[in-house]
Amino acid sequence: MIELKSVTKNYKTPGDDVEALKDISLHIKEGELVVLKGRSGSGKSTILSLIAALAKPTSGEVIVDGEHISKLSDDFASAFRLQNIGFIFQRYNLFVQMNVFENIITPLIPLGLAKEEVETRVEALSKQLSIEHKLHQSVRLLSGGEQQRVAIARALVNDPKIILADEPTANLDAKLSKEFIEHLKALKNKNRTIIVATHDPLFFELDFVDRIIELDGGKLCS
Amino acid sequence: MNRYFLDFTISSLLIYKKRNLFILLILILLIFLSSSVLFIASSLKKELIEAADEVPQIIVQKRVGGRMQDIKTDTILQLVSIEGVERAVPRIWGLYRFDRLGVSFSIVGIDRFDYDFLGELRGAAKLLEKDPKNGMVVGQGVYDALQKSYYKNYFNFLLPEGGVKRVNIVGVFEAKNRLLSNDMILLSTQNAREILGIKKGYATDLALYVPNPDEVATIEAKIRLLDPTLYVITQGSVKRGYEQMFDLKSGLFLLLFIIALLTFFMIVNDRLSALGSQEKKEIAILKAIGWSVRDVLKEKFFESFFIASMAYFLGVTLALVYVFALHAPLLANLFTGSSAIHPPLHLSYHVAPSIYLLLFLVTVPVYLAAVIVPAWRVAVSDVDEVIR
Repeated sequence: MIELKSVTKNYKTPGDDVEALKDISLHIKEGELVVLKGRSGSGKSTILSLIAALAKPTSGEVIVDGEHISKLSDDFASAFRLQNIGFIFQRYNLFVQMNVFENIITPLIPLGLAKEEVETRVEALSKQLSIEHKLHQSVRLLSGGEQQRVAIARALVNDPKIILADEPTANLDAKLSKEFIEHLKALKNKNRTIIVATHDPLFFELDFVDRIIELDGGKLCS
Repeated sequence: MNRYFLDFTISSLLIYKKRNLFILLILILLIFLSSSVLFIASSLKKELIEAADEVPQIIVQKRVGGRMQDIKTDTILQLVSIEGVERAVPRIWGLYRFDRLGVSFSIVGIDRFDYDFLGELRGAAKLLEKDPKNGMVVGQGVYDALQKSYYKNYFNFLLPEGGVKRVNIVGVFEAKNRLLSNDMILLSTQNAREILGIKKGYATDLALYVPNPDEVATIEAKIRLLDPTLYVITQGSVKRGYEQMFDLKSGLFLLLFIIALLTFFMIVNDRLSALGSQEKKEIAILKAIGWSVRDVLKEKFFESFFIASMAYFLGVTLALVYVFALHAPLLANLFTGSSAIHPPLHLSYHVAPSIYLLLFLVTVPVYLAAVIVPAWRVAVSDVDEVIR
């Protein structure tokens, strides 16, 4: 389903070029839950960005569902993300001045869906994540766990096939991290393809993780 | 634009409400000033050009060494002998300073047989028939100014030879063209001569009526040849003078405001070019969750259009009220340069639609570009680093 072929990614910095990924080849099957493991700067987040078509590789190819997404124009890359990708960020990256409902529906805005359709989707997801009574509360008034659930709801509202999570438990305490893992398990059971970039050891012991891929200095270790 | 897009735009505006409010206020101020300048210039220009229509085709004055002197009325005999001149009329007029109020009035002497040549002032002049010997008809501006002093129904003019002359107000007029009528006092030529110190057999100038406007230039040349001390002013040169004066003044003011506007837009652009990390992050998040560059720019467009169009609407509305309801205190004086000479000026609404368009074009699209270009730069770059 997801294939990286000899991918290299360089970033330009004021003084130098940084090689974030060095000739990476990777294949992830549909429904698989893959954990990308490695220290900060090892290239985990860069892989997520390439799969989400947020960045283009310096060389090599990124193929998702047979589509060369590294060659997509901005409009097609955006459409691809809207249809296929749900992104869960390290610090939730919610719009804190907006309420829960407004945050969840943000990915749907460009689609111009009918009000009923939008409300149906939000209602279902918010029930599933137990935040239905918080929909009109400002995000800044929510607890960390509730904010995490809003971020998950936003990632799922467009019903994506692939879920990318970048250090999802980095800012959570042990209880909330476990709560997140429960949500992840539920998504795995729904046959979503999930890629988690993390260095949290909690993920390395999970029995429902299909593969752990380790990165070091932009290269695959195992 | 769907409802949720609108909601998002409004929420997004509110996120940076202090900054947006500051930009809105500065824009309103700049648009208000630019609009006021253009409205005043447009109104004054229109009024002066209309006033110039009332001016005779040719006015002949006596100037010796550049100094204006009273002209002998028997010069008329020489002037009417020029082919093409139908009639010449001596005019008695001049400024009268009323120091107590810090204003000056235009005194115009008229006689019964002049009425046919008075144009718009004919109706006002007829009021003088009530008491041509001791009466005067005053413009609304003069009347208002006198009401502020102890002169309510009459005025005591100081005479050049000493003594005073009491003249009663027998009528107040307000011509269509306020610039023409505002500071005017109409009275008999006899009284005007007395007040202005113009001897019998002399006039301030001579007005020539030429039926064929094409002959004005030839007649002007012939008068100059007749006597080098005769100074000729044509209706065309008066109009051109007014146009040039207001085009120059409004042009200079507008140039200053355009510089101010551009400076402001450059500041906005600079401010947004170095988009705060939070704003860059927001664009990156939007892209990561599926928004295209076009969606991001559309949202930024509506945000900035809302600010710019609101500033335009409020700035122009305030300028309309300031110029045409409040008669542009302070700013109008910069144009007329005559606050200490004439009674307060009341500006009438004369604004061409092209002025609204010009104001719109120098503000709204420029502001949109100043906001959208930096957002576009962020949106088209690799945003993955920003969201980590």
